[in-house]
Formats: sequence, structure tokens, C-alpha cells
Amino acid sequence: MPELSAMQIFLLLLGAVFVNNFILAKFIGICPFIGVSKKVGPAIGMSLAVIFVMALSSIATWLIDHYILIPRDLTYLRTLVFIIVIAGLVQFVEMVILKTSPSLYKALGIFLPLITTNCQVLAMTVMNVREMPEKYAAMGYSFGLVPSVAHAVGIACGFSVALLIMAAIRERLELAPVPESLKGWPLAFLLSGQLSLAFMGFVGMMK
Amino acid sequence: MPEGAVKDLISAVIVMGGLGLFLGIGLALASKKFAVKIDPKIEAILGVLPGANCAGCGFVGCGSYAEAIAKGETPPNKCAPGGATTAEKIGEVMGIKVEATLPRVARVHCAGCISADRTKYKYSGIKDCVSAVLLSDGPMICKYGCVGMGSCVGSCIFGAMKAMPAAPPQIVLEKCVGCGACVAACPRKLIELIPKERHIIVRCASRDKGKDVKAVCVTGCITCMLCAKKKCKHEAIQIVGNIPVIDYTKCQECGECAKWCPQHVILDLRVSAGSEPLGAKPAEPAKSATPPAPSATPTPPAPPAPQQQAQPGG
Repeated sequence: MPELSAMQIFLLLLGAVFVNNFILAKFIGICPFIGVSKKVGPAIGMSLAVIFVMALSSIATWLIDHYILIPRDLTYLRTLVFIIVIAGLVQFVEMVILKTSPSLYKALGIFLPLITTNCQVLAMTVMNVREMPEKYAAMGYSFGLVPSVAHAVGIACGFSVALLIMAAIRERLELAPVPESLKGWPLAFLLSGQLSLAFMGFVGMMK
Repeated sequence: MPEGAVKDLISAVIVMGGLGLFLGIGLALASKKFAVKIDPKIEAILGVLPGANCAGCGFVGCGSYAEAIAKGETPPNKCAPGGATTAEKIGEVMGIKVEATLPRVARVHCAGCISADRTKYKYSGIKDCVSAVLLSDGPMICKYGCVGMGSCVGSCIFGAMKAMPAAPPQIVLEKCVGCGACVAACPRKLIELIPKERHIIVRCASRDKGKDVKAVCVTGCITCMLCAKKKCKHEAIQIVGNIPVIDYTKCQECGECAKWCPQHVILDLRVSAGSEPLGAKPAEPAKSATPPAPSATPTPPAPPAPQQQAQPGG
């Protein structure tokens, strides 16, 4: 089967950012979306950490899936294997960063352990080896390592976009005269609903 | 059991077990290889610090302050909430002698009335002093005094500032640790940290001349110079920028300045409780020896009623 072209990979990435936005269209990874969106600063740190971890774990899990699980017909172990691989990998990366670059550790450090067992990372890796190859096989393409990473980065960027929009709005709302009963969480939930509605408008722009 | 199932089982166990073993050993080795040495002093100092993360020391929080002390970059006596005992304990950890700083508390250099009568326009923006001051020096007619939006109250994580109706915030002495968060929060720079055991405070920050102050405030300093020139026997008061500034190293707390101040700008906290607006001040000590200076004080434009009554000679 032919590989995906560069344009197709770009569209895949763009689609993951806007059309199939993990948070606002698929509702995966809501906890950091609500939890870390109070201020823009931490939201940027979290976004960078997610992009980093997503790209890394998509490579690791794709390799393990293709060279260990598929040849031995053990694909039913994917969830289990992926969880420990991602957790181990993130722990390892955290140690390496702490040793080699304290400044990078200060920026990402506290967010890395948070993402270790985050649902979006697992969902992304499982999608990369199960749903996406099936979808592209039907169109006559193979879904290799490069599209997997592009897809993962796209999803992470989509998460970042949603998180940053949310954080910026909530930061403004801190100073706004909001009815007492709506302050804090209720308003955050209302907001995320409206953001989701807005992003639903992208559905259908891309297959 | 069919042979295929056994084979599946074994390969699953091998893959999972192998992966677990590989990751476990790998992480254990990595933690040895990439171990970062942390100064044990940091932990010890962190244990001594109060952990309030108030940032009064000038660092982000207790953690970064502890790090800086351990490296010897900063003296260990900067922790306001911890005070002398904490400084002493840190000194023990570091093996150095520490000179403790005197405990200080925040004091507001304004006693002006914050009511609609004293505004020059109706402010309906964000309830925040910094924003309010950006708009043509704030809504109050005095451009030096408290704007009363409570930015300092919001900045205090110890609950030591109490927002007052129609007056600058009151400081709850028992709760104030002197971290200085409110000092930084006030756009007018009205709050100062003053040694806790000192009782003479100045409650005006207007740089204007007496006549101009009179026009906008009933409680402002009119720069009569009585305190600095005549009443202070210890040369502790100097008039800087048309307001008295007390040198607490020279002040002997005799209370003469507060007794004679015609505007009650200088206040003796042993006589009066403090941050309440001037109208509530018990006037006995002043009344007993009413100063003759501002005897024919003209009524200032539209002052709030209770303040007018307590005005000596007014």
C-alpha cells in the first residue's frame, strides 16, 4: 500500500487540531482542560508538556505495536502495554530533563507526572494503531510511523489551542462582575460547552 | 487446554513480564545514573520555614527562599511570618549567627473618607485599585489617598486586612505578619511596614500644600509643621514632601506630636485604636488641650457628616 503524501499528512494534522479536537469535539482529556485553565502561564507549560509527551509516546507505542505485539498476535494487550510504556517513558524523560536541563525542568517538570496517566495520551496511541490504520486502509493507504507522529502532534496542538482559549477567557472573567452563583466552576462548564459548540462548526470541513 | 491457548498465554506472559522487567530495571538504573544531588540543608530549612509561600522575602515561595539561603545568597532573616524564631532555627541549620529583624506590621498612610461625596467622577470599571488609578488618577478627589477598591485586601493571604465602608482598609494586628504583599499591591504606595511595637503613625500621604489638602479632605495633613518644628523634642519628625515622616529609630514614643496634631494625621495608637476613619477617633486627649492653630477652620466642601463633628474647632 502507498504511504501518505506530505499534503495528506498536513491535512491529517490540521484535522486533528480543529475538526477532531480531542477536548471540544471528542471530549477526551477534560480534567487538565478544566484544572489547568485558570491562568495562561501554567496553561502554556501544560500545552508544551502535552505536545512533548504525545510525540514521544506515539513513536514508542507505534514501534512496540509493530515490532512486538503484531508479530506475536498480542494486539489485545495494547491497552495494558501502552499504559506501562507511556508511564515508564515519561518517568524516564523526567529524570533525564532534571539532570540535563534544569530550566526546561522548571517549565515542564510539574506537568510531566500529571500527563503520565492522562487519558488523551492513551486514547491517541490506541487510535494510532487501531482506528487510523483501518480508516486509511479503506482508502488504500498505509498508516506508518510519520503519520502517527503527525496525528499525535496534531491532537496535542488541538488540546493546546482549546486550553489556551479557555485559560485566556477565564483570566479575563476573573475581573468581570459575574453573578455570585456562577463564579468559578459553573461558569467554566458553561464556557466549555459554548467553546465546544463553536468547534462543532468545523465538523464536516474535512473527512 | 488446547495447545494454541497455552502458547498464547505464555507469549503474553513473556511480553508483559519482559516489558515490566525491562522498564523497572531501566528506571531503577536511570534514577541512579541521572540522580541529582540535592543539598540536605534545603530540606532542613524548608522544614523550619512556615510554608505560607507569602513571597514577603522577595522570592517566589518558601522553596526558592530555602534554596537561596542554602546557597548562601541571601540572609536567613527575611522571613516575616516566621520572625526571630525561624531566623534562629535557620541559623542553626546553616551554622551561622543570625540577627533577627524586628517584627513589622503594615500601616496605611491615609485616613480619608471614601464616599461618593468625595469622588470627581463615577467609576464603574473593574473593582481594582490599579485599574481605577489609571483613569485620570482615580475617582477620588484626592490624588494621593486611598481609592478603596481593596486591592490590598485581596493581596493579603493571611486575612489581616479588613475592607471598611467609607474608609481605608483596617489592619488586623494579630494576623498581620508583615510580608509586604499589600505594600506592593497599593498603586498609591500608601502602605508601609512599621515596627510592630511602635504606636505613632502618620495617616496622610498628600504632597499638596495645606490649602489644597483642605479643599479635598477633612483629615489630610495641612503641613502646619507643628509636629516637626515645636512638638517633637527628639528630632524624629521631618517634613518631607509636605507630610511628616517619622524616623522610628529616633522616636521615643512620647506622643506629643499626636496630641497636638490639629488634623489628627499623626495618631497615637495607645490612645486611639487606629485605622478607623477620623470621625470615630475619641477626641479627649486633643480636647483637653485644644490647639489654637486652626481655630477658624472653614467647613470643607461637602465633608461627610460624622467627620465634621469630630473636627476640632470646626
